[in-house]
Amino acid sequence: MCSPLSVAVGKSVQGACGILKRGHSLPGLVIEKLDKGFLSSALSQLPLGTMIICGTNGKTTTARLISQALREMGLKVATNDSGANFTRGIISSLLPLMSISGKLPCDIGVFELDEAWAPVFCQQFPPSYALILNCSRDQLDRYGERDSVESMLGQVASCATKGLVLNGEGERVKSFSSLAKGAKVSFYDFDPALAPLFPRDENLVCMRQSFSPKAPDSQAQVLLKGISGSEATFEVKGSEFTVEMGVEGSFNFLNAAAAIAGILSVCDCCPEIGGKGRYRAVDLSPKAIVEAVSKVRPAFGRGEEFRIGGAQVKMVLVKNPVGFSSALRAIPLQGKDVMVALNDESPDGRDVSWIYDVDYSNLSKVKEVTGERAFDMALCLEYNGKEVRRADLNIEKALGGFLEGPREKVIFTSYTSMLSLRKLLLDLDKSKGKNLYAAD
Amino acid sequence: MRQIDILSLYTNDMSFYGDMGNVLIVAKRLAFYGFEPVVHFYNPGDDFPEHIDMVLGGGGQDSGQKNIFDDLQRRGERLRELAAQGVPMLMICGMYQLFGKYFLTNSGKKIPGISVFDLYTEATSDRLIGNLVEESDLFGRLVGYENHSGQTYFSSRLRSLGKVVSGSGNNLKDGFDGAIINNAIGTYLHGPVLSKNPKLADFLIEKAQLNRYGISQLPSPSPVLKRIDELATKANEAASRRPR
Repeated sequence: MCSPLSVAVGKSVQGACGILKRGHSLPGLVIEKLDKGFLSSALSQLPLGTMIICGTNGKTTTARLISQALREMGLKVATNDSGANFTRGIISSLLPLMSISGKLPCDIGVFELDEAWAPVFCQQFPPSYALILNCSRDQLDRYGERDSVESMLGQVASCATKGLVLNGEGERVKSFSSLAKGAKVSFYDFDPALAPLFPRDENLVCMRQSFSPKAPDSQAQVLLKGISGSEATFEVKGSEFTVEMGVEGSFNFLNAAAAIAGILSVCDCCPEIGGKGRYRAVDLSPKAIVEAVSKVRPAFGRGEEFRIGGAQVKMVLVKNPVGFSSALRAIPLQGKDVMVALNDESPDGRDVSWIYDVDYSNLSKVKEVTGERAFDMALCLEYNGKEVRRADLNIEKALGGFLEGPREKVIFTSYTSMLSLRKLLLDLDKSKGKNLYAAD
Repeated sequence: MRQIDILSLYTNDMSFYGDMGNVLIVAKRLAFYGFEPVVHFYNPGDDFPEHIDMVLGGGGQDSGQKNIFDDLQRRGERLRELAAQGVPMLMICGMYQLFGKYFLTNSGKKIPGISVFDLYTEATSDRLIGNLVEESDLFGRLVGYENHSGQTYFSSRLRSLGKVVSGSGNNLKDGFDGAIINNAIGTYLHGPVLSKNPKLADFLIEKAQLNRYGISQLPSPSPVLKRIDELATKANEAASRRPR
């Protein structure tokens, strides 16, 4: 049980933060300094254990797909859906759920973790389940090399106690299966015919010439089998299910396959579910899991939509070559206005060189380019033969120009520019309440 | 149309930090100037093309440098010959280090380079990461991003590319970045470097044109190229104001 003192301190810092409108992580940071055992004594209370989700692309969406689906199925889930994904962010997300005596009245924890903080978390509290999504080139200004990210993710793989769920597609993540210590390993994957929708670093660096053909993975428990508009077909343990998806884009459909595999792993390792006790009525059959996952709506800024006047505006977070290239392949852009926003604050990555490794072939013209590195972005698009109507460092001004005209609109944005744009868009979108799982 | 042959050295392993952008930029600028650019992507075990007008190389991870090491030793003599003939070359970060005499690892092992540049690099435990701004006699203000743990040293006989205004450059002592010999340039600037520093791109193109066709003056820039260079100037200004 957690010390009531830590909980009281945390809750009061959180109260003060609410008033000051400060960030999410401060209460967690205070507790982390004060009570080193807090995380493990809180999470060890969860009867169905804890799942952590790691990787360079898709953590927030996948964690949301899993936690919302589990809620839909009747479980009480502790999660860090604000996107605060350091250990302190997780502690902060637990505090409001805890009683003053330190009890955490939830069934399961589902947390996304930053690549560098995941090993720290695992040392404090080895998770029951780890789900590893991918290891693409990302934030090299922070990690130096992708190889260091790979080794951090490998540490996570070796810490899972019950279930280790891996993307079976890329060798880097797939090979983590050999690191499992007693955890049951399972894979998810996509049908080889869908390969052109899922670029890898290797395809992007080699001047986008060819897609290495990949062999179908017969081991995969969950396979993304086909995509048709907003419908996805999944093969789960040999049975096929076609569902209308609440999230958009092939990369999110693959995140959904990851989520289904993650939930199946819990199901396979917890005899309590569907057994005799309190989880008797919980239905975690493949059909129920697929349906629950399909209903989940996108996480903030990740394909989120706004209605402003007559215009529908979609905002898509992009932060590395694979993510941006996948988004451009997945989201239909014909007849739509496009804006790209690029900032270079530390959460975005200070080095913007990566924009030159994005495959822009599905893009024709761009109406507005903005952000601190608007001119870098515009220049890169021009060299890639894409017409850029206007480039402006000022995000508010650029958004004003972009919103003119009744067409459908898509914004591709880096992280901190997404936060600024989201604030502006929420003010303009009268249909939305302000309390939508806010970013900060 | 006048053809220019570009060798993109170790494309698969040594283009990890956006340096492939340099190949795109050179090829596009050549086309805007009315040349026909032909890019030869070279990886270990491939054949060298018959004719080489320009050589471009980038940065890679440690594992990437290991992958290309043996092949580079085999190609060293030919690359030194090309450099001595005045073939323009641009080597970024990892390839810049490997174009030096040697790399001294943390354990004291000397890994030989191909000695195009008379310099050596020492492994350190600090990684020098951040925006890098420098002043160059030849090219004005150069702006980019550095990300390396090796520190590079050379004697005063070799000319540096630029004097560091902010950032680290070759090492933490001298205050200079990069090196130039004949028409071969080495630097720690990613960015990719040619994006915000088009004069450097035009230097490579001018030298390639002179060597192959005997013409020293570049054609006047097309309207597209003028627009691109205006953007490059703005991008250079905006980037040079950003924090480390």
